[in-house]
Amino acid sequence: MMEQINFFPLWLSLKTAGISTVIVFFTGILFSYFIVRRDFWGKSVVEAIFLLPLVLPPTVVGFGLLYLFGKNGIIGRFLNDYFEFQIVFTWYGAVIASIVVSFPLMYQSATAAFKQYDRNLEKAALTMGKSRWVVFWTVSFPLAWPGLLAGLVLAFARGLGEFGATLMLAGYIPNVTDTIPLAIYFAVESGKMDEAKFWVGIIVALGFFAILWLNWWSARNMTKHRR
Amino acid sequence: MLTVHIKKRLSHFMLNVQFTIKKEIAVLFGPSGSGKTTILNCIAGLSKMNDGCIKLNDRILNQNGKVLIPVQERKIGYLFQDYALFPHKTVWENIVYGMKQEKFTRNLVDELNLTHLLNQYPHEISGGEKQRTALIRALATEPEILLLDEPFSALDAKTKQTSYEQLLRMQKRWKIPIILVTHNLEEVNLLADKVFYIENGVLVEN
Repeated sequence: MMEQINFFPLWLSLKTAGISTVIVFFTGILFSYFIVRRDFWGKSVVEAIFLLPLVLPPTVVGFGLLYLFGKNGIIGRFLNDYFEFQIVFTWYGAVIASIVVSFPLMYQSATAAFKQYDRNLEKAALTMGKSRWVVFWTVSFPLAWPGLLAGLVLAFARGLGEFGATLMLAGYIPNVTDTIPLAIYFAVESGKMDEAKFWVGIIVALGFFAILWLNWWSARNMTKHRR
Repeated sequence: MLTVHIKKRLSHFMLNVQFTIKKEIAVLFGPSGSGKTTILNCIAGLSKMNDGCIKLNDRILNQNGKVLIPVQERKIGYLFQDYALFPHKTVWENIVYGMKQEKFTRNLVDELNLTHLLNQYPHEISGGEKQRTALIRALATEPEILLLDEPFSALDAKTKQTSYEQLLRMQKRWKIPIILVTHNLEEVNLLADKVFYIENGVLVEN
């Protein structure tokens, strides 16, 4: 059976989830730090928009993305006209779908992480003459790191498992846009149950070990820097 | 010398204080929630004010309420009530965070008897040791003023006595303005060169 399996979906899934996780990690930190530290008019609305993909059906997210990035969409047309670059039916579409659905998880974890330590620690660092940038990397980031790492793992796992929005935006093109969840669906559709079982096993194993490792790491670090 | 005039709207009252202190220990004394910590935060540049002026030696820190010199450049040593030691850094890493000169800092560490604790983390040391670590960390930046926000409140009676003596010794040698926030009358009697009694945001004649 193994000879018949095309491993492209595994590499594509790792590539799209990997790229989206890196992007989501930094944007999630940036936005959550800003939102936690600043009060401004309409803050609740902005937060609700950030978390919306968490509660919307993936097909709705996919529809919205198609609306934006499709050939006649606002962003899609701009990219096509000026850069001859297309998002729909390419693996870039899978990355964008993955970013949108995993962002709320990273954002939520990062927000909780930046709220859980005493703000006076940052203030103390500022009084010692350090710039906000230095204070962020030497105080805020290390103290929030366990929560940020949890967000990173959750975002990666979510990105890896993304199906609905990916199908709407990137479609199913074998050896181009077939991530593991898509490969499972179309393997079942065409009666290739062995292939479907194989990919299900891979996804379950990846998710399971990600959570197992995270729990082990958290338990180890919680005892190291107790306050 | 520190000249302070702060006007700041707080949730229940208007903070409106004006005072000057020289190279001495000034105690801000009064009930909880009367605006004492807010005054320290305004001097440190951590809180905005609506109006007023703060001048430290020849530098104007705030004018007409606006921040002229940001917190990082104020040369202020601030000891927070809970000490605000970085939990992920050792005692020594905490101390050197804003350190100017290592030799001078090492002398302070010796003098305040912290040498044997330098590799410990804050959660591994006692309240008195945390307080000394925070004091050295603030002094290691070689500040022009020291702000102390109830630094003795979490200490036992014996440690408090030692800490009082250390503070008086430091002040004698250092000769910078020190503002101590407290609601402990014993600290007022033992440490204060000058006392400001504050209630509902205004200074009350004592």
